[in-house]
Amino acid sequence: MSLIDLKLHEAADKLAAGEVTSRQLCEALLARVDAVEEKVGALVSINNERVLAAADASDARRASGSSLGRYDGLPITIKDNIVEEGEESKCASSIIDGLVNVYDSTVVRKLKEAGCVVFGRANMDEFAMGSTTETSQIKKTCNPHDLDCVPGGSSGGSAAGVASKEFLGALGSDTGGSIRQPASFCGIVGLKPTYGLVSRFGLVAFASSLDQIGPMSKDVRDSALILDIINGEDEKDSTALPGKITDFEASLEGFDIKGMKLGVPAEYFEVEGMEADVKASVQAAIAKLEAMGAEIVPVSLPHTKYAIATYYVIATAEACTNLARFEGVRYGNRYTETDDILEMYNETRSRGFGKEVQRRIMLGTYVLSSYEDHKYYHRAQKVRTLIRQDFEKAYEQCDLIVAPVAPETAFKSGESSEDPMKMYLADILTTSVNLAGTCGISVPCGQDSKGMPIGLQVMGPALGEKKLLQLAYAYEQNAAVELKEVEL
Amino acid sequence: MSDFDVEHFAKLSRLNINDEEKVTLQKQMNDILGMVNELMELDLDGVEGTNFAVDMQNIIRQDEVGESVPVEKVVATFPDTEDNMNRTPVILEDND
Repeated sequence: MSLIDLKLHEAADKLAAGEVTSRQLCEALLARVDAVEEKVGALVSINNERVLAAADASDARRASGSSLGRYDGLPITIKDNIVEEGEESKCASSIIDGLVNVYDSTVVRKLKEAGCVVFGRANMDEFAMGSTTETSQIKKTCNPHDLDCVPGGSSGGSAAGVASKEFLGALGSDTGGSIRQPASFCGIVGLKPTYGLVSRFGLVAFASSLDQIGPMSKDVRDSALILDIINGEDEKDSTALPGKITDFEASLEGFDIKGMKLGVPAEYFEVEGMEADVKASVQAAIAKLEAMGAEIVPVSLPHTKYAIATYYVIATAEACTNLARFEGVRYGNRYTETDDILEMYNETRSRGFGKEVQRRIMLGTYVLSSYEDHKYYHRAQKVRTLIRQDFEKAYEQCDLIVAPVAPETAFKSGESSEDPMKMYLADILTTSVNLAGTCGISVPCGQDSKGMPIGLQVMGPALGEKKLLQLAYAYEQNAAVELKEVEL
Repeated sequence: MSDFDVEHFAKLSRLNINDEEKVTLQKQMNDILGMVNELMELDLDGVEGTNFAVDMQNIIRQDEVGESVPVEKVVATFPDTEDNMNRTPVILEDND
């Protein structure tokens, strides 16, 4: 077994036992990056010297008996919208090219305090706006299971890099499905935590009431391990919830699925474009969970069909506000061939933002403009309440909800670039969880006739991560289908 | 439903759109608005809106002086500088 095949928890055990050093792990991964990155395109950037220096520092701590603990020396990759001091966070956009950050985001600080090595920055859709990673202005990311297909998005680089074994694990961000959908498309595990469980300080804002950072990993245990590190209160983020949880990983063992009630929402299986293979695979996974002892309960989430419309009104309204700060004055690029400040704003934004970001800024401006305000934005906030209440009612009848992650598996690159509606509909089964502020995880449950991975989505109530991870772990240990090995 | 006014909202968004882009955007934005208009069919009387899905609490700390990022490091992130300040094109004309 090669070091790149290790899970994070296995690497942690080997580091603790002195069987491997952080430098050996990082060198093996850097060699893998050298070998396959040209095909996969998972990384925006990686600073090899910085990686190896951090690895050496970790090894020195272990050697001198001052290890920072179980996670010391583990390499973890971050999405390009997460800020690290001394590194650029481009958000895969050319508008902030060249901006070197002067502080660490809270998640990066927590990773570093635990001794982790920040292993490069993963590609993404520009400003996390997209479901295919094709809106990145930096490079193209391919799905390791079929290089002609998209990896999903917006955390497509994080997902593709874990699947291609360039990273042991990664952080993504999920505003409307951006962790779970690429995890599903690339056959890995991805968890969107409850809103507020993980600090957003230093996450470049897209839609502030929906954004959440979460783990992307080879297995469920690794997602629990990463969540143990990154969750917790933060004086720099008023939306971060109080307290800190340290036993997501430790709670995985000894869980008994018997008697657990799993809700199955019919609406999630009836959406437009639901592929037969996806439906069959998820239904088979649910049957396995029932055979393991879970009780299956039909539930209804009647406002599911309004989730995409609600999401696009709220997310674009927040995005056009958040992205107003990129105008060439404070950060990054300025196109200065003019003495006219308004022309400078317009030139900078038109040349710096890609087409999808421009579309969303215009839509957000439209739904927030004074005479349309009530018509769209306030209506969307009310429908958001109805969607949240759908979940609250459902969780009175069940502990967790199980459903597909996306109606289809990874599709060919280029299929949605001229048709934004196709890309938007890829999020139809994931946005509701963001609107409700609850948690959800994608776990591989099979593959379609072309060999592309299919994800099972497990959704839980606010702060239901422990149960969510326990169920996902029990499924993975007892029933998960082995995916075809990635060949690059 | 009226056509999306690309020119007007591009201007408000501080974006330049050329004629060719305008044609494509017109269709795309109309499609998106068609989808968003599904929200019109619901009866929402008496429903309160949701801003944030969690209860928001102020985070309070003692007013103590802490460490700050050095000014020169922040200034270095500006696109253009002069004498430790952010240099921009003229904002207010001198009419004297």
